[in-house]
Amino acid sequence: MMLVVSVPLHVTLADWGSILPELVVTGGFLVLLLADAFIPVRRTEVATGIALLTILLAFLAAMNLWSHGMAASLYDTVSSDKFAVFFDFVILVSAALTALLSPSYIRYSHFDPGEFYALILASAVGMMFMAAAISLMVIFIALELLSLALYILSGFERSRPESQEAGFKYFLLSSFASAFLVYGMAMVYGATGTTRILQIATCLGHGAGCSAAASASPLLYIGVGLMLVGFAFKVSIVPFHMWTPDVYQGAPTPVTAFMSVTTKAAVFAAFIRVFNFALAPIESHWYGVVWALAIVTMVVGNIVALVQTSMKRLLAYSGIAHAGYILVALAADNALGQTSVAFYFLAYAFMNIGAFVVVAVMESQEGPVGDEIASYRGLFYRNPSLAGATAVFMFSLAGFPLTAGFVAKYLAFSAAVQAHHTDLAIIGVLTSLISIYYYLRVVYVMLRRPEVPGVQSPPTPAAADLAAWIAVAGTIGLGIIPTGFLNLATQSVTAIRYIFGLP
Amino acid sequence: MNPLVPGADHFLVLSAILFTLGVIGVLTRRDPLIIFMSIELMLNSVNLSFVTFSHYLSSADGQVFTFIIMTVAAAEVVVGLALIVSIFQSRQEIDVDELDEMRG
Amino acid sequence: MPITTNTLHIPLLTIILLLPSLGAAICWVVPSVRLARLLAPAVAIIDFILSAFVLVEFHLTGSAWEFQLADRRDWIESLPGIAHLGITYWLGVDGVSVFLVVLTGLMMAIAIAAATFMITERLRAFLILMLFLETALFGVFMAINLFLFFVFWEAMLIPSYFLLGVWGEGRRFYATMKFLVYTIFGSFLMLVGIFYLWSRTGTLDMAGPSGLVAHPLDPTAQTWVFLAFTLAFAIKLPLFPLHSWAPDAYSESPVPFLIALAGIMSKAGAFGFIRYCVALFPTAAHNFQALISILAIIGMLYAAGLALVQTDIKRLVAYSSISHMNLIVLGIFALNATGIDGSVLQMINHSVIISGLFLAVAYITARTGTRLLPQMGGLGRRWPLLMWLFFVFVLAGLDLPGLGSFSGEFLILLGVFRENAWYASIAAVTVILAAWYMIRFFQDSMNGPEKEPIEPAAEPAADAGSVYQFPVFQRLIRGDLLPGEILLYVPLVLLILYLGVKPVTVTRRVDPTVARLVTLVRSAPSPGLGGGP
Repeated sequence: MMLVVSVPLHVTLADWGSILPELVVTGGFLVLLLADAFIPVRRTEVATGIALLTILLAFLAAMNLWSHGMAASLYDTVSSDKFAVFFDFVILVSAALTALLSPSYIRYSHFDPGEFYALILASAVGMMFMAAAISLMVIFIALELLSLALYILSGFERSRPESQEAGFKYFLLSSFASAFLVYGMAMVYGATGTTRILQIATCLGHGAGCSAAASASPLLYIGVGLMLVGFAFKVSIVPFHMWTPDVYQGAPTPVTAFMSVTTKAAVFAAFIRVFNFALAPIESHWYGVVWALAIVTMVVGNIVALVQTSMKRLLAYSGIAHAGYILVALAADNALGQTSVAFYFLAYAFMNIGAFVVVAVMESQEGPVGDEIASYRGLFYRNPSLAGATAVFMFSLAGFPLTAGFVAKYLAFSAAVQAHHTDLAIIGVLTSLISIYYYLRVVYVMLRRPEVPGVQSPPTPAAADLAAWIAVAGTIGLGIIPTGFLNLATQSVTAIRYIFGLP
Repeated sequence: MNPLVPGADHFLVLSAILFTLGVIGVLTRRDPLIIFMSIELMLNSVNLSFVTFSHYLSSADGQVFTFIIMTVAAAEVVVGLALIVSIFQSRQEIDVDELDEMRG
Repeated sequence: MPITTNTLHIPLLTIILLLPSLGAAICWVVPSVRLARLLAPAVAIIDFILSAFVLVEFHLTGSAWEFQLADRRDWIESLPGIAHLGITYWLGVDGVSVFLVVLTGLMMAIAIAAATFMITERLRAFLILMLFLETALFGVFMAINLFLFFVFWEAMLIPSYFLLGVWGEGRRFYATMKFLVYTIFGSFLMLVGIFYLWSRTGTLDMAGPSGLVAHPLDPTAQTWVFLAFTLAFAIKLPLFPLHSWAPDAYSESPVPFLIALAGIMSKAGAFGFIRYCVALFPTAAHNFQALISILAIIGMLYAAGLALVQTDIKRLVAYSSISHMNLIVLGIFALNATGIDGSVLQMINHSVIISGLFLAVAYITARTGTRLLPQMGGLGRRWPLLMWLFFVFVLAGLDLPGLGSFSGEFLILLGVFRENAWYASIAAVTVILAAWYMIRFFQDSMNGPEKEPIEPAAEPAADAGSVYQFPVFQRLIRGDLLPGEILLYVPLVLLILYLGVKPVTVTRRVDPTVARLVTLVRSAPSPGLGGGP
């Protein structure tokens, strides 16, 4: 037997440079783990500071990479193209917002700040690698890295049975899904003879070094189906969404905030690389399935959200619905769709984490009932600025104009229309219509007069307040002047399409 | 295909059977440890597929992937057992049907 | 085809559009409510004066479809190398919208001034929301890009939701939700229509050589998109049978917001019919002419009939408003110059009259403590000034020749008569009904035996805080109209008298635009559902 080693075995400095943001975050992770043992006082503040500093450095590294990225490095397994860097931005912004909203919650539920931030950074590394992966192997390792950290984080509040349960459920169901994903990868590897995304694309496009039979092989289609199941699971696409509400509700709120945006962003980045690029030549074969999944996800997510009484569960089903809208853009399989996915996550980072900031503040002020929508009654009278921020997030999630959510949704549905999938756009618009009811119900509850008039909430903790304001500014700013960020998204998609030789 | 000489198909079918057994185990068993073992079985059946493909395609990728899966599986064991132990400490039972604090 | 000009060299429309929002931001940061209370009406009045400049700068020398004072900026027109989204920031006014812009400036100034003494609880928030609403309303009338139009169309709802939900009376939550469900349903279908238009034409600009007006869709496609747009506008108007949100929303709204809602927002629906439904889908408009005309006739009779039997004066005025709005739709769908001219004229008249009537409702209620007609009577003897000013609006409401609405309704009926004599004859019945319910309203409240006013509610609820905080009164006003209340009426009365004498001021400017519109309809492929060349 002869094994073919196709690339020279050495790693250059440029290779390391192409994963610099990931390396910086890994460094921060190690520093936090070590420092955690030595911080004598004000542990939460110091740990938050280290985490934020790491994120800032990684952000600067990512900005540098924006113009100096490499199409492929480390034996063609990682790409630091603009698409990956754009998702790095999304993940880092989300991590920063999470770090700002966490301190008050950490004090409220008494868990160890050092370990907490270390795990957040560890999963961020996984996510950033996932967004940059151009090899099925790296996708798998990155996915496991981010998942393992999130399993622990979900069960981090050991004093609360719900949190333990969330961690365990997430662990079991997610590993189950990983097995499907990796089995699918094995099949695709068997059919195409490679695990590198670029080569899979070449192979399926009947390029050199690959038999034309590959794209007709049943192995390939079984593999694609299994991979679809795996991806669908991770981004909570119906019918693989069962874990989402339980995990979102049980996990500590900062963790839910973080994972609700970043996991989806990272997995969707890989999802796009695999389905819109590697598997683009066989689009006609997977389109029907993705079409059906998108419709079911939008319908089920929005309808089940109508009856929720817990804010975190509401946001979980809302997240499922949003995954459906994003899947519409992915199903469009065109440049506009990919741009809109990238932009969508930026918008989603602000509006969704913003909504969770509110939940975290409410919980740290009112205890576990802070998660109940009923406890928001009269918030406009008790804490006008927090209620105003919540209203902005709800209007944005519902897709009202002048907010980021509207622009994002508009672009996603435009992409479907441009690809002549008008049916998806129409169903998307109609299900958004349903969603307005449950988002505005939250605003409606806040507008009701409080049961005990005249009581004021304690002031919002400074860091969480800052996070809320940043999120509000991002939500409205992206809604009114999306031009700049949309240009970045456009450039990122142009870059990745260029790599794959698409116009 | 000579039925007496094992070829790629035989290994792949075996791998598929093992994977299916794992799936059935996850779906039907109620003991978290058994569920956990079933997931491991699924991962190992994938390893078998990878090794088979690697051999018949003369490509190293599959074998590297196998090592990665083994490492990841080990890491999953660590985290999974820790979670199970933590739950067991606080409530003295580990039937997944009893994990129903949250509904809706 | 449609071109745009701007002879002014300053972005006047943008300034008018953004000034209220800027004012809102300042109101938010100023330290005291008292300052905000002065600032907000000042901003609104300045904005009105600026919007009056738009009328001055609107020239009649250009060609018909010219959008004047245009201001075009890139927004997200295209993603380079990826897609042409056709989304621009493009403002401009034509002969129809120029009046609606001025009207918005005037009515919002009156509404915000009214709010300063009618609302006391959370006044600052109310003023901020009203100023944001003003921006959205201006945007709806100024936008000549469909996306921009939709943004403002939806943006109107956000402040409305709060204004009705927080400061409304009685069953305000029910009214708010009903209002939202109806209007959002309509506008989301319009969004689907916008997607479709974009996919077929690749642009969302109205004007310009590649604009939507220059490239009508084929007749079958027109039908569907026309229906999607019509639904949105018909709900906003409200056109029968989509009106059922309106009586609830109108009767629970705080009066300053009601001036914006009934006075301006309902006109946005009528304006949408003219600007979008007729101009973009002339064939479909022709096909659906009969259907919409019949609905409008039923609606105006039905609403007028209901106005006759109302005992709640706010609901009475609400139904009269719905009746008149349906008449305006009838005029638009006469699809000839006379009818549409009349409709535009009547939009202005209706806005003025209905605001005056709703203000009268507020004034009466603040003095009697009730909205129920049977509990009133003889108010005229007690408060003669109120009676005489109210009388002006009653006369205008029943189309007395010489006052504003006579010429408008006359033109509408004339236009309709030319299309279909039957429609016009039946529609004329509403004029009689209008006279009937208006006189009944006036007689029962101002004349007749005096009744004791209802005393303030025994327990001062948490809501109390203003003479105008309905329905719980902190204290009733005992005397005749206050100077502030009179001041609000002055511009309205002057406008009614002026438009009664010189409606030609309006029609002269509307005519070229409407003439072009009618040409579009007449030159469209021949009627027949799904037909065409």
